[in-house]
Amino acid sequence: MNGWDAYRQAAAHLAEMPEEADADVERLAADQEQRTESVRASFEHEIEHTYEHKQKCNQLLSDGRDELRRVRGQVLIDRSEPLADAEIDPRLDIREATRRADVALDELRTAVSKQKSPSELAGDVAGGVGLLVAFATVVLVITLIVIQFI
Amino acid sequence: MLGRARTIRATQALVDAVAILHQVADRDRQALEQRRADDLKQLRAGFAEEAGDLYEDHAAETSRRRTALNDAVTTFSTPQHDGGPFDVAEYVRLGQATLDTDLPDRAASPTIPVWAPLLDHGNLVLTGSWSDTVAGLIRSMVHQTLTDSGPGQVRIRSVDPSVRSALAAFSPLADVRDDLLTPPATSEHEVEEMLQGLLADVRATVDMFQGRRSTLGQLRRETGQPIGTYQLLVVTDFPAGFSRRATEGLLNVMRAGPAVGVSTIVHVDPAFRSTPGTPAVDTLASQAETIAVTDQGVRTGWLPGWTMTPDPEPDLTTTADLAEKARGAQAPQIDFLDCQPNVDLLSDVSTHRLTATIGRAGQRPVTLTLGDEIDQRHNILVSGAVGQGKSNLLMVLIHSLAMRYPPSELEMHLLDFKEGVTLEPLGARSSPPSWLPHAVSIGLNSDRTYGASVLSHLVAEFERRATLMRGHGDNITKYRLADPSHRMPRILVVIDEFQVLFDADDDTSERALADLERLARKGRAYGIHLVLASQTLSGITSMLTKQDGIFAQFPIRLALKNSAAESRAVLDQNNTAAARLRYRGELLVNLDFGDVESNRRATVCWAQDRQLAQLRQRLCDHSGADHSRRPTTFDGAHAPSLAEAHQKLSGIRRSPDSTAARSALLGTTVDVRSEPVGFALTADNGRHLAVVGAGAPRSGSGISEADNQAVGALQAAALSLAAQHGGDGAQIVIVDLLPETTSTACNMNEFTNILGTSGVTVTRYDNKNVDDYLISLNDMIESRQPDDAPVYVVAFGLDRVRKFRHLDMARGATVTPADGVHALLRDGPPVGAHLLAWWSSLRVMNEHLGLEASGTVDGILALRVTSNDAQDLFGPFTVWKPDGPRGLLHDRVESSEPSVIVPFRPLMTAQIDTVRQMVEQL
Repeated sequence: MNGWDAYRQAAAHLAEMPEEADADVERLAADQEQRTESVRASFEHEIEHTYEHKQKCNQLLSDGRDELRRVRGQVLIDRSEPLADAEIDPRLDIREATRRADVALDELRTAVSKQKSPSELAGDVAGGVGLLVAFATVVLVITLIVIQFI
Repeated sequence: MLGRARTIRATQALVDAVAILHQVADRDRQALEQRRADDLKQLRAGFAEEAGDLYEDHAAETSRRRTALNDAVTTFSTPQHDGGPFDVAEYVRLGQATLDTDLPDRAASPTIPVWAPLLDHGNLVLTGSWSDTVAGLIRSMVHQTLTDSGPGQVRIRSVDPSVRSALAAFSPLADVRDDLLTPPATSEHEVEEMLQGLLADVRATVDMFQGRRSTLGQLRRETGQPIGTYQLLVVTDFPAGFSRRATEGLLNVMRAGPAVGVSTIVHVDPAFRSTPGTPAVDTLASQAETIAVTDQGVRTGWLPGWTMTPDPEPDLTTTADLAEKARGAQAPQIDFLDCQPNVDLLSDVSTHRLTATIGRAGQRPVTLTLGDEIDQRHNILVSGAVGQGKSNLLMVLIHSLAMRYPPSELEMHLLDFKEGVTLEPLGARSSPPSWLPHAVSIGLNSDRTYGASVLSHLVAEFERRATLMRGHGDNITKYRLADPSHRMPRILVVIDEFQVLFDADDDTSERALADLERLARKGRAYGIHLVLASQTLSGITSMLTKQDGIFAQFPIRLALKNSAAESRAVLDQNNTAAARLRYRGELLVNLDFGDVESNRRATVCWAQDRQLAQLRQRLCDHSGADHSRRPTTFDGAHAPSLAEAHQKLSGIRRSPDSTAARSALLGTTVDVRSEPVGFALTADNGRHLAVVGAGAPRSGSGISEADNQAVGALQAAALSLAAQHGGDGAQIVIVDLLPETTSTACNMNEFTNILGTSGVTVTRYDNKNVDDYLISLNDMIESRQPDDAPVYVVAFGLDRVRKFRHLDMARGATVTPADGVHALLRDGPPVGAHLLAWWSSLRVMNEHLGLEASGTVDGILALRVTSNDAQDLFGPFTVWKPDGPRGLLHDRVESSEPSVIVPFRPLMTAQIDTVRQMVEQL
């Protein structure tokens, strides 16, 4: 490179400096924005996950209500009811809590499935009364026997 | 009932589990949000650091670039201009520039000088309406181009259709050389013509490059010669005045010009529209760097982002200094020996030709060949104004030939008709001995008579050779090939300021012209070649009738810088190229009778006096036997001294025959041989010599009484007679009637004493006793016998005898001094008595001789006499205008016409001892 080229190139280089600097700043800002967004996005997913679990809660309660509705339309669970505060084991992670809730729902289902409908319950009541009378009779007889012996 | 309770428990368990799940989810979300906030906070902290780092990086980079720019500016702002011919304004400064935007380091914006590439590098296109700024920039660029380039290096050409006259301040350059600043082209026709001329120059220079990729500057530096021509074309108001053809021509010049030294500055005015179909302005800009002048400032294409403030206009009153420097421009020196080909000293033969190398054209040596049968170039015509290096050119030519050819192959006759001393070192008088062994004769301060005699001698040689060659072919080459043993060197005749030969319209001129014409026409066949040099060929009126015929025999024309008229005279009517040469030493070589198409520029190599003297010493040493042959040197302004007559006197040996005629030596001939001229003093009646006229000019001319030619001639005569007689009893009577000042100046006492040592009897008389002696001559002559020892009466200033015809009756005298002299004149020679006398006045001499002795003196040596006196003495057609030490000698018995001689000088004080020893050895 001769002196002229060096002079010309050096002048051009210096003149290009503000533009290059601006470009660098813009690039850095974009990079920072991207990285911020990335962080935000990464947390967003997980936070969203927690909301999913909260929705899961509603779903569980709704499912539980449906189950209860099958046994004579009782509404034992009202979504509007405040949920009871519970002592939470700090070690309890959300998967375990979900599993437990699922188990509770299953148990409810089981319980519901074993509960009689009102007609069945009436029969059961009549049968129960008969049984109770029979049982009472037996008890009376026995009591009487016992008394007899005494 | 149990199922219900169980259901209720299960329901409660579910509600609890969901509550826990809900709370766990809330807990996790809060934790995540906290982490996210923390992460983002940390990220932002990192970002600030990164931004800080980036700023520091930018500041550091800006600083580095500032430093790099400063370094580049410092390096570039110190161009090496030494004022020499190789200086070229490769870049010109326009102003200073500042950056348009702030720099990242927030420091002040730097200011840098703005240079623009020009000669050797490119063109400039300057856009903007005509304004003071535009005009100032153009003038500034032109001014710097001239100041930063070698003096006279750059020609400025301009196109100025709107008559802006921006370059008017440079007009003094045109006074130096009309091509340094040509008148601006204003019309389309003139513009086209100018561009065609430029394109022709470009093509010619491109040819010189011989395919090398280089610039003119590089080529000049490589060759060490300012070859080619730098030109700067300045166009204003483009495209006004430009036709389509002219625009295309301009584009071609801009495209091909810069590398070969033609750069262009084009001012483009947006107000002017191009002729339809012509190349757009953008096309011009593609061949140039651009400068835009707008209301917002001046910006250059090569410094984007910078705005320029033009420098103040230079002081244009210095243009006169530029012109003065251009006037004194000198070519760089090419050493003579470096320029010569590597051939053995004195080893070449001239059978076929003579070859000399006189300089270089680019990297090629400039070689001239004379006598070649194919080229048919036999003679050279040289022209050059005073001080342009003509003498150097001739010396280079002479010595280049002398180096190659031994004296047996080349002889030279060198004539210098100017008052310079160029050829003097080549002569035999040079001390230490370093004469040119090839030189047969050298004429210094030559007069026309000598020049004519040299030509006559050469014509005689030409005729001699013609006779020799009969039967051996019609030229020297054939003759020498036919008989290689025969020595016939070629002869080179160099005549500097030859026009002096023809200054007067007289016999000498006519004779010289006839001889010159004959030699020019036919000399070549016999190996005689002419080199005629002159500073003014255009004014030789006496050659008018034969000039064309003579110059037609001179195909080789060498023109140093001269006027346009002289250029036409030496080259061709259409060839004024010699007027456009730039330097002393720059030469136009034309081998085709000056035809403009055959011009070739060259630089004559430079011969230093000491270098040439050393070379001649080597030539003398190498020449062997020829070394002893000194050239005959004739100095028109110099009379030979008695000491210098040594060789001549040595040749006049004493004759054993006492009755043999003796010759009185008077001077030397004005011819090639410069032989001694004597007057024979035989026993025939009338063998006396009368020297007539003033021996020295009355005043002025720088010739003093010590150079009295009459005294010198008679002293030489006496000395030579003494040398021839020795101790044979001969008697020399010195009659010294000179004024005391003259007698003293001419060392008459010492001369008489020296004469007495030669063996002859010397008697001296003066004013006190001269009358008695002259009276006694009457008796002496009567008493003498033919075989008596000779007596020579040598009378200095006989016209000072006051009582020449006075009969002193008081003392009983019966004869007068005049009678004694008359007796000697009438009857002396048969009895060995001769008179050699000087009368300063012809009238007095005639009175002294009277009727009694009229016609008794055969020998007349006229010195400073009037033309009328000369015609009285020698006839009505005699022309005699003595200039310098000359005498007109006529021996009425030997010749019908007088001949010019150079009388000896009187005995010089510094040479008394030398002459005494010389006489004692004779």
